[in-house]
Amino acid sequence: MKARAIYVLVVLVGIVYSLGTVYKAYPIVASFGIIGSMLLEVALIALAAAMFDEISDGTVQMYLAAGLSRLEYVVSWFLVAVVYPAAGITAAMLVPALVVDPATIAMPIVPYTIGGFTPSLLIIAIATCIQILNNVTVALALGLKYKSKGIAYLVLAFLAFLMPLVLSMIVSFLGALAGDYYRYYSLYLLMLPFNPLYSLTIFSSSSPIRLSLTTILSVPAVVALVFFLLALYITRRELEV
Amino acid sequence: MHSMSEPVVFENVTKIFWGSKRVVRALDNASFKIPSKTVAGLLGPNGSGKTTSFKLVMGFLKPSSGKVSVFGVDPWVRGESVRRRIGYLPEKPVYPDVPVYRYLRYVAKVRNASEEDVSRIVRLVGLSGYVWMNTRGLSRGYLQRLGLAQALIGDPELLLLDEPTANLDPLSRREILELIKDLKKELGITIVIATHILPELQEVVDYLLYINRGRVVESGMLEELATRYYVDAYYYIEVEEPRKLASRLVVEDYVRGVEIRDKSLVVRINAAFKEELLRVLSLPEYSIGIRRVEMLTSELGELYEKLSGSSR
Repeated sequence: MKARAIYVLVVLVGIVYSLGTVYKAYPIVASFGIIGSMLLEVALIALAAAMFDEISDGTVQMYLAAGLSRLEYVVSWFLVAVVYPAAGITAAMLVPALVVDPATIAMPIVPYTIGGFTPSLLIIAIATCIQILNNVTVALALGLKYKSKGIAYLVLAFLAFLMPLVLSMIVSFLGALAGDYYRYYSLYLLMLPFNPLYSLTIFSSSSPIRLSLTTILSVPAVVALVFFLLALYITRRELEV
Repeated sequence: MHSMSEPVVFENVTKIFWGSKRVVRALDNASFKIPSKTVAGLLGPNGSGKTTSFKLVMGFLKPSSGKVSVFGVDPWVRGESVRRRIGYLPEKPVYPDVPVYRYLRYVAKVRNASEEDVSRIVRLVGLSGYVWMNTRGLSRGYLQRLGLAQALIGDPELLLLDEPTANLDPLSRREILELIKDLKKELGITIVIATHILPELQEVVDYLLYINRGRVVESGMLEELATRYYVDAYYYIEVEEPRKLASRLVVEDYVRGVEIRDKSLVVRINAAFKEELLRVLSLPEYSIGIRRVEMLTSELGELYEKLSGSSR
């Protein structure tokens, strides 16, 4: 049931992205990239928390008793709650552009120019994909470690909302105290492993800390992979149901 | 490598649950074996470690220490291969809210069983009229039938039934018990039933394992335990002239009851007097017509009381 809800949700969000791309409403695509992905992540965790409910109420035992392995069960949830939404949203952004005008994909989205950096639709799509993969994977992996959906909610809220908000406030506050806004800018590096969409705007060419696109995209991708492997390790070694 | 004659072997198994407020030692250095092709009763009061034992067999839990072996392999490490050979009915099964047939077909698909198997099992457990109902619409009795059906798909070699008649009304309880008896007769597989309701085991078990506070207090074939603990047992004697034998047996002071059934007798004696009974049956005037002698069951209630007493 929850898996079906995830399917419907991704289709609906995907339609918004697709329309934005088809009508070249890139500001919508770009801003929706950040806000939309945050909201989507929250919804995904809320739905994927069904995994923790199934573990605590014993439903998982019925699946395992049928012959599934613990790994197959957990990986299925990751496919439904992480891989499918990330791939679906990325496709929703890129496929319409490919159909309408393939050149659009590599063109900078001019209205999205922030700090002298103008990412293309392709970069925005990849960053959105990695952000979903990263945040939901980290939240699910840590939730799995403690068999707690509360932990998963908390981690997701922290990564998607609290960390960017709190860091901005701290950097601004400390910068104001020091009379130099950029003095504590390096604190934003804490976001690099988890928030590629934010990192795109923060570590752009005009910021005091400039990072390459490869760094901005590959670090959170590697972190997502590490947390996915951690989830597999936890499942194999210590997940009791 | 364990003998295949013992599908389940526990060797000094301890399972500790570390809670935030207290530590629970659900199993404490438990060692036992379940012989193949027996119907074993896993007895013990609530919280004695029965469900934990089942979960260890299924590979749902990892032992804190000791070794669990099911079909010769560690179920925690190779859970899925072990579970495909086990049918499991948990104490409180939770089913996805889908039509019965769809759920059973899913189980069959995972277990590489055919549609025909699903239909056969649906008929066997008496669910034929309910296959298109959603699982949430089933009564408790039919939910237990569904539990048995999903456990039987894929022809398991071992059936684990955790409190199969708990929370059922007397009629449903009777029906489920009859079903278990039929399974014993028709399938000839190893069945382990965990329960604290004794009468339901009376007619089906032939091996007994008593656990209390996580410790194995006693285990053995029912006949062996009945003899060891001096409890009443029922012996089935197939004989040419039951009336003649009955008239001889009723005068023996250790015989507590004799029931004549067509060409057989059911004799109730204290199991400690089994040898006495066999001596009478071997007398020339009776032994000629005797075709079969076997213990039907023993007074489990009495045995349970004695086992509980010895474990205090």
